[in-house]
Amino acid sequence: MEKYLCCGNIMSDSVIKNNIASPLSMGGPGFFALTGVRIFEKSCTLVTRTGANYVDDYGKWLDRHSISHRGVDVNSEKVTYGHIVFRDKNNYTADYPMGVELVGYQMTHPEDIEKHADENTKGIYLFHYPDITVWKLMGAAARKKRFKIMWEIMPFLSADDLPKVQICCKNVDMFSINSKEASILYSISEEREEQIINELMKLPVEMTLYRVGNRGAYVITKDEVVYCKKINPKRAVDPTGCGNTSTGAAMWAHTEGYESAMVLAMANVAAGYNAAQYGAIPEITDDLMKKAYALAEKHCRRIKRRGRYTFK
Amino acid sequence: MKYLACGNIMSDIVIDANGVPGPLHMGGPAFFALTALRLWTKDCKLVCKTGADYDETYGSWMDLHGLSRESIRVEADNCTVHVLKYRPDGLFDWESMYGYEALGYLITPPQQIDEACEDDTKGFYFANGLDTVIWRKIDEFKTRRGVKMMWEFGGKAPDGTPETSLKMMKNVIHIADMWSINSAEAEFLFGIPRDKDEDIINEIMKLPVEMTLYRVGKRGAYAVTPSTAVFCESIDITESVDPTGCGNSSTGAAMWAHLEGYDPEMVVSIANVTAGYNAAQLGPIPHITDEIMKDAFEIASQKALKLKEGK
Repeated sequence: MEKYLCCGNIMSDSVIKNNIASPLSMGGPGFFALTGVRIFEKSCTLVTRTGANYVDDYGKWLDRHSISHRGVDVNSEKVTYGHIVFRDKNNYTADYPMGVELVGYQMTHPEDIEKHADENTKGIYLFHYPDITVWKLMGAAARKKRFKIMWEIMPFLSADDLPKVQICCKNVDMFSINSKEASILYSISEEREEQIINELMKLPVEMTLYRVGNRGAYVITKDEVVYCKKINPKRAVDPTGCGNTSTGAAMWAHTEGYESAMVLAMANVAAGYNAAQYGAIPEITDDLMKKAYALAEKHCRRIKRRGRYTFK
Repeated sequence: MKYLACGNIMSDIVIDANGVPGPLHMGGPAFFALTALRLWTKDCKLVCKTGADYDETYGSWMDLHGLSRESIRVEADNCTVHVLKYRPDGLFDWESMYGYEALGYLITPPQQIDEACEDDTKGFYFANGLDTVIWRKIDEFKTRRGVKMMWEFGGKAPDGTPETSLKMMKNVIHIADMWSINSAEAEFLFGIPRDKDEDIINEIMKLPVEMTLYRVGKRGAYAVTPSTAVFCESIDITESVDPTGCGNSSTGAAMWAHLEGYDPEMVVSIANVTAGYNAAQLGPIPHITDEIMKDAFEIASQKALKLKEGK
């Protein structure tokens, strides 16, 4: 099996802005994360439950990128799709015409990941609830199979979820959250970034990717906090999936042992490529991989040079 | 185990037509079906995915009734909870406390039923929709295992239309051996008013299943086979308190009775006696003693005899 598993739903999206709907594009947290890893690493695959018609588009994308279909469990007829309605740059609502229940039926279970992980597996990405049972099962699988876990927390939390999040984090190695979610979770306004970061530093994880929307992201470890503004390799068209994509890339970079500045630069470069079109990055060529890496190195140097972006 | 009740378990909070909420009660299609099976046989088990908190309620009920938990998979923190809001017309609206995504996460997939089947398994109850991929998987293991299925109808086609739903139902129903549907669902599916029992039954009789339990709400139910339809009015064991789960429990019981070889009169009597016990309190039957099992069988036998005598 491949070194990196991107786990979670795939779901196509139509983005609605100013009452204009974009065509249906491939997406979903598991798929966006896969593209985020694939920009930097070829040994990666998708672990998902989905609909039989995934072969029409997602399947072709996987084939074009020489990615195995082994981790894809066809458990229903159709890939789910959603209408994502942006109210402003950072606020959106999602509507799933085929029913949210089907989205739940297609969610990845820890047993799927355990089944597909082997001695080659180094890291996995999973988008999931703060559910103690799920993360205990995941933690047990990770200890057994010796892989690291990046948890991207599902949105629409409440402050009541904080104790559960803290417990769940004991079973993961990396964590990813955006500013809106963190603000709700810690009951701290989004503007009070330093205060939120102080709280995130207390989580029992090696690294947290703290995403602050259009402004970029932070990488937070026990010892340092590194900030990098967003990176646009091309003109930004649509932010859908940037959080998933950057989280996938950060998981790969951290597990590969890169320093925080490079982890962050890679996360933001991946998000930048994702934002360059509606839906996921259509074609990741070797040339694009090289460019992405070089761009990340350049920004990594900048991050390190600009001491004001780094504080202890 | 000979009989499996498969699918979601979900607790209910019932809000009556006056808006008054009751306490939380165990329920869900598979659990109601399990209680029904247990009223007639001890050789049954539950097959589901659920939350860790099931232990305090469902787990205790199963322990009380000597039932195995071997096919229950704890995959989340919380068991699904539904709020059922009854309307003055007796129908209800419902919403999920932890969200429909969490409900979907805990839906029983066909491979779990396959894994739960044993050499002596005769049949399983499963409330299921129309997704052809799910049906293909059911067909595969059913054929391999030689087990029979009671399908309690649920869900509509993705486009929500009766035409497509009917077409999809007809494409998969041959995979099931027994079918259960209520009058509101039949009205939607066949486009026949629900008070036209005969016309609906005519349509049901054409379907390639051995037996259908056609439930007509407070009026009772029919056991329909390709050649006959037997009606039995509803049976109140004690005062009827809450109809929630009566459809699931009567369906589970009808499966057991049919697979045990009882005739349609006895099948429908057993189904209605079960619904009567289920309606006697909020939530499922709290404690099924050997005495209750004997009483239930006696009541059903007498009712079946009367049906045969045309009374």
